[in-house]
Amino acid sequence: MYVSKYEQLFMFAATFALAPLAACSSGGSDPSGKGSVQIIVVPEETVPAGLEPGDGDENVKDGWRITYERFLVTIGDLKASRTDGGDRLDDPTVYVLDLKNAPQSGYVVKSFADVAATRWDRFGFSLPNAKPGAKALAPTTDADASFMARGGYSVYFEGAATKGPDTIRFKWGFAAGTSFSECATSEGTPGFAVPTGGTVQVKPTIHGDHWFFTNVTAGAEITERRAEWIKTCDKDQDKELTLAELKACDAATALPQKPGGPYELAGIEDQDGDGKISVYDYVLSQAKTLGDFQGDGECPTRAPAP
Amino acid sequence: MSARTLRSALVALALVSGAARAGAQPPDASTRPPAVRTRVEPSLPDGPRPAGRVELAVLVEASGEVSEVSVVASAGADIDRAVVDAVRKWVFEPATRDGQPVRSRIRVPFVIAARTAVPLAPPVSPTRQAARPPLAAKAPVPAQKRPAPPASPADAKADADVAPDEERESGGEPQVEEVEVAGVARKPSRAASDFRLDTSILGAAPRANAGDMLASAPGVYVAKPEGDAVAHRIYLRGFDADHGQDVELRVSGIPLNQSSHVHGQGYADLGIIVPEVVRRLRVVEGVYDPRQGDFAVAGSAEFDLGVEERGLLLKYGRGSFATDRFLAIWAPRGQAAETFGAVSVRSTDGFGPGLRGGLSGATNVQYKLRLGRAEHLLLHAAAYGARANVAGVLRRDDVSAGKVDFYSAYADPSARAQSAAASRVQVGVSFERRLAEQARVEAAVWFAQSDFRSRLNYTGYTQRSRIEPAWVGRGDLIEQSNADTTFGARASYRSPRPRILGLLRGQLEVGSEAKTSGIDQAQNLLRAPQNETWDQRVDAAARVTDIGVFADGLLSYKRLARLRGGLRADALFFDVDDRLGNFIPSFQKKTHIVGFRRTAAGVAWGPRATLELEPTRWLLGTVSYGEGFRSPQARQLEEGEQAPFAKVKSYEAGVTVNDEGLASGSVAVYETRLSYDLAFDPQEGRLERIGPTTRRGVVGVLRGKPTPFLDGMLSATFVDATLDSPPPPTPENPTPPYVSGQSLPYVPPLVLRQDVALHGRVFSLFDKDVTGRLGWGTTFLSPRPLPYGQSSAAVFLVDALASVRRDVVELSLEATNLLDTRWAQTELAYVSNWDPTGVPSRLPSRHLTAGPPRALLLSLTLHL
Amino acid sequence: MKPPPRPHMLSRVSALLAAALAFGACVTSSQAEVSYPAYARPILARTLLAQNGWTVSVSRADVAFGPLYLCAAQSGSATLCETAVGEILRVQRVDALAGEQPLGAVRGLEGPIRSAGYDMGITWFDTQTSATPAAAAPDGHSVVVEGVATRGADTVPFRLVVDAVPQFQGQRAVPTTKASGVVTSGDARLDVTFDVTRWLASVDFDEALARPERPAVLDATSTAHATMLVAIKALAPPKLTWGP
Repeated sequence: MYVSKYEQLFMFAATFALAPLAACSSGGSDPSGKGSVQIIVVPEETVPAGLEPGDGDENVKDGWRITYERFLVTIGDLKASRTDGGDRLDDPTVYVLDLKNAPQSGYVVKSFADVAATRWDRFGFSLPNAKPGAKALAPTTDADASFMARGGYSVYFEGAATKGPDTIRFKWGFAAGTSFSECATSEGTPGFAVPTGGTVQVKPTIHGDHWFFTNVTAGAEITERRAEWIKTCDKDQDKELTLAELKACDAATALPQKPGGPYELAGIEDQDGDGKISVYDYVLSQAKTLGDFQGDGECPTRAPAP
Repeated sequence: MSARTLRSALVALALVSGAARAGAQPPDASTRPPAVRTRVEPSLPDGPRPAGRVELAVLVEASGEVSEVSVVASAGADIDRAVVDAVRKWVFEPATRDGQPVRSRIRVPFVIAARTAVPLAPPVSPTRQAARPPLAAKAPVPAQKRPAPPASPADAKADADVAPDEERESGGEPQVEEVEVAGVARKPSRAASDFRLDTSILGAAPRANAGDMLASAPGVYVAKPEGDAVAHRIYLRGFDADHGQDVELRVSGIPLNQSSHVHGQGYADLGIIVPEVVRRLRVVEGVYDPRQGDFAVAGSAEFDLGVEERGLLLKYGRGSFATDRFLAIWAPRGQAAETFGAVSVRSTDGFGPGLRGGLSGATNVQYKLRLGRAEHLLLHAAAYGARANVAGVLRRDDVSAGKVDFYSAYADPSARAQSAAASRVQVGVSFERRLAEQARVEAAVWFAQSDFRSRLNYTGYTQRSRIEPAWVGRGDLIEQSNADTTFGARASYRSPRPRILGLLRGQLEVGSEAKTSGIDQAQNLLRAPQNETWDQRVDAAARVTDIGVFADGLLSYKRLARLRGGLRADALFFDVDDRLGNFIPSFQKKTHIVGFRRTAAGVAWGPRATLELEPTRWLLGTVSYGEGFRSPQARQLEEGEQAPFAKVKSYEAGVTVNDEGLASGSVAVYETRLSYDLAFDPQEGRLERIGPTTRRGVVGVLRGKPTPFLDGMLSATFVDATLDSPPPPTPENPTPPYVSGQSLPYVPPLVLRQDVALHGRVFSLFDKDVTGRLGWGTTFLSPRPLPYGQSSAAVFLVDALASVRRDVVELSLEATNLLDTRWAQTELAYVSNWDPTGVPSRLPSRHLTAGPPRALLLSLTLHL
Repeated sequence: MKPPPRPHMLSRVSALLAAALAFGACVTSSQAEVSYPAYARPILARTLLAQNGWTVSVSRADVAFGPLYLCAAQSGSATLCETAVGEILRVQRVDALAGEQPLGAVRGLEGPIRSAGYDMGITWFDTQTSATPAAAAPDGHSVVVEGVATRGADTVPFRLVVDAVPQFQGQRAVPTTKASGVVTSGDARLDVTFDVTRWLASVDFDEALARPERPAVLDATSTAHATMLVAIKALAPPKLTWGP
């Protein structure tokens, strides 16, 4: 255990030299490393696989089967920041994505490198109305992007509802531009954490079934899926439900509320300003709620995104 | 102005400027040898006898009685026997350290004259003792033989845990009297707020458990709102440390804080400590010592166990609310104070109408094994178990409206189904070897296993099932379970203390501490009275490993200045099996198998430094700085996340004035900044993250011991604790009830504490002295801020005890809350619904947990 | 023996503690509690024009309102507004043919209000096993309108009742609606405007005409009920405004 005086001197010098050095450091809670962030847009399973009829909570209760043949969304304006600092991550780029044909692991729309390895507790994104210049990420085609920009859509989908012998097709695009912010996981943990020397995968998740809900969910999704209104609103019974038919379809009869029916229309505003509440108003309201986070996490602060 | 007048003036100045303290280096840190109070002359054999010399080794107990006598130098068997018989009847004023009677071993030489025996140099009388210079007034050396001054007074002060053996070898004129006072090394002070509480203060007021002892430390308030089986809530100098999240707690060197406990990060149950075997409590308020590890955010507290009065102690008490307590302590004579066995059992119906009944028991066993002259092993084992019913919270508006009695509980089935149970077993072995030139090697290993289960309802009927969202209104009876198995080890080496560059002395200690915990935890919602599970919130296992290293250096310049400090770094590794991770909501398509396993790691490090300036023996200035950390709750980490430690920075400056042992005072100002804080979330029954916080305050302590029979301590702590920025809104909490700059909820800005102990001989009865003890502790808490602009009422409490003892029999009466104050242990503000038939309010409302009313405990103790 | 501590030291300690005590009473907090009145401001013409050419004369129009919960969050749904910043817990019957009338006192906290959720006399709290009308609900309904509908020669006395029933247990009848106000003191007042005229204007009384009984009863099974409910909840919901 003998330590020479020279060794002791070295130890003292090392200790007291390190102490002020450490005092000047930022300390252990602050980011001392760097990592990467991948923003990956993931479609909810209902987009590629559709919805099944059945009695389960996840099924369409009134017997309709929903399939999508095309499902495009506009997404962009990615933002992340930290409550404890002024750092920001921004990408104003707007992308058009074909969610029906999305890669199995989703679309990597953006990667940020050299990001402080700590928790970024504020994250948000937008599903804006498409404008010319929106980028198409493969396998999304440029034609898809142009199509969305021409219509100014934030979401467009084509598909069919089938029940027994009835198959009713739909092709709808909506300018339902909405920003989603203060995103948190389903556990309530805000934002995301960047690992040191690693990559965090942040997943804005796009849902594809909200227009079949029986209410506009906020917070916990306590709802049912129903699609009978598709047949109710197909007034001309041509098996093609158009937006015009949706606008003419009275919500009071197509979407009956309690005590006579399952729906809840509170909060559905007159979206198209025609002085009536139609099913179009309902579907458009739902089209403004598609953005979730890390699966079923919520982004509770929503605002119009033109 | 004389030096003494100046000293007195400075003590007064310290008091006026902020308060006073009896803190880090009180004058009674000195050691005093025993002094003879009653002497019996030896009755030597008749007849002629040669002159000679007898030298006895005498063991004087803390009570002043002689327990062992052995002959070191003989003058013949008959003479030896006569002298030994006489000395066995001697009664001493016991030796003291830090003002506290301790066991001591002395040598008493006798010169045998031709016809009589005369002590050559008997131990000094108390009067003589007071008249002469204090034998070791400035040398808090744990064991001291030959009271020759150490190499320099500065060294003695700065290096309080120096081995005595080396000093004895260092020379000094041989003394006739030789005194060895048993005890443990005193660790050097790290700040003006490095407080050492001895049994005199700890024993002044009744302590139902070891956690209550913390209340005597300045700025500390402890409560037990969740019943006897749930750990204390600790509030320390502006921190709501909950059940230990911000206070590192150790007993005999073994950490008690549990990582990632489901009921609260850093959960630590002090129930495992039998309070009667605590001989010293060190509370460091702040983070200044490189040995302070995880959870040392507000500070740390270490319980040192030992029994000074040897023999067998049996105590039985019976008191209010059908409380029974049995205590047995066996401290075999001839063994070190650290060697003992203790067991306590307590059962009670609890206050209120049969709502708080509980049974608890603990055992502490230690054995100090000397391996050689400079080595020893300390074996430690402790176990604890408790179960208690819990009355739970009450809405203050319901109490005011007479809907429920203050000391009762809601009649609701869910409210009446609350309970908790806990157990813990721990064993440890520590080794210490003292080397030449004050060097030292220490090592320890320990193991602990603990279990916790609670059923607590804070909110009544507000929750909705996450598994089955249609289920609602079945009662928010939160069931939590946590099982933890932890292994730990530590080792350190302290270098010799050479001179450097002539005037300076230096020393370095390096050490490492590691522990690994396997944790299994769950949280569910139960429906009473069916005991049906109606939601699952947590189902997880985790392994948390903490590897800490530290370097701690000392540079001292004579006795004038000392700089201590160094670095500590902890690497933490987390492996989480979150069995409810990637949860699939009921209304979502099943696309995967529920579960999420992840790992994370991180390093927390920071410097700690203390500068002490001591221009005179009675004035000490201290400046301290340190950075500490709290590890994150494992389950809240994401894959690969750099563990987000809560980092604290502590600053403190203080002045301590000693008035030659009569009184000491100190005042210190401090600031602590915490990178993120946690607050209790009643909806989840656990801690949730809030924003960064800052605390600024002043603490003052006065310790006075004007006579041998009076000891007192008074402290005042004021803190301004504020939230620097609110947390971001989340879906579950979109409107955090905190705004920037607001007072931190739940912590009292002002805490006053007074402990007073009186003890001494009362009268004689049948040739035996009857001694008495009288003591009390008072606590004042200013109104505590609550969320939403509310605040709780101020609290003033008095606990007191009185006892009389004759020989082996002692009768004592303890009273807690003597004034029968109706007070709330904790007050919280949040939303609840305890009226299933009414219109539920969703405004935050004040909730309280009733503090115990006056309780008496009459005990009979046998000291055998 | 050493002398006891000097008395002046103790007295100075006492002075210190007293000062600290006074200092300790000063704590900073926010979001003070407030209480301010709320008023119902019904809009209802005694004679109005409904769908399909019907003219309606109203003789009775009672609306149940409450309990009301005000939220700082953007959504007032039960799962996103666990803690309210204001509330009226009682159910108040509003006579829509009368003028401004008190709704009771709002108890709450200072601060911004961004959404609200409320019931209209029929509640389904967490602890209620089914939707239940409050005692104050007019005839056990959310809305009761009585009057006469006239179109040319057709005159139909009618009784129209509306039940605003929460969709599921633990939910409000109107889970969330936009609201915008900032309450800075107890001097505030809340006005709740009920546009009953617009509600009735959405009804087609052909259905009443077809009913055999007189007065024709338009209850929860009627189209008029569904139409009124959409008008009450989505088209022209009660409007909350804050003023001095």
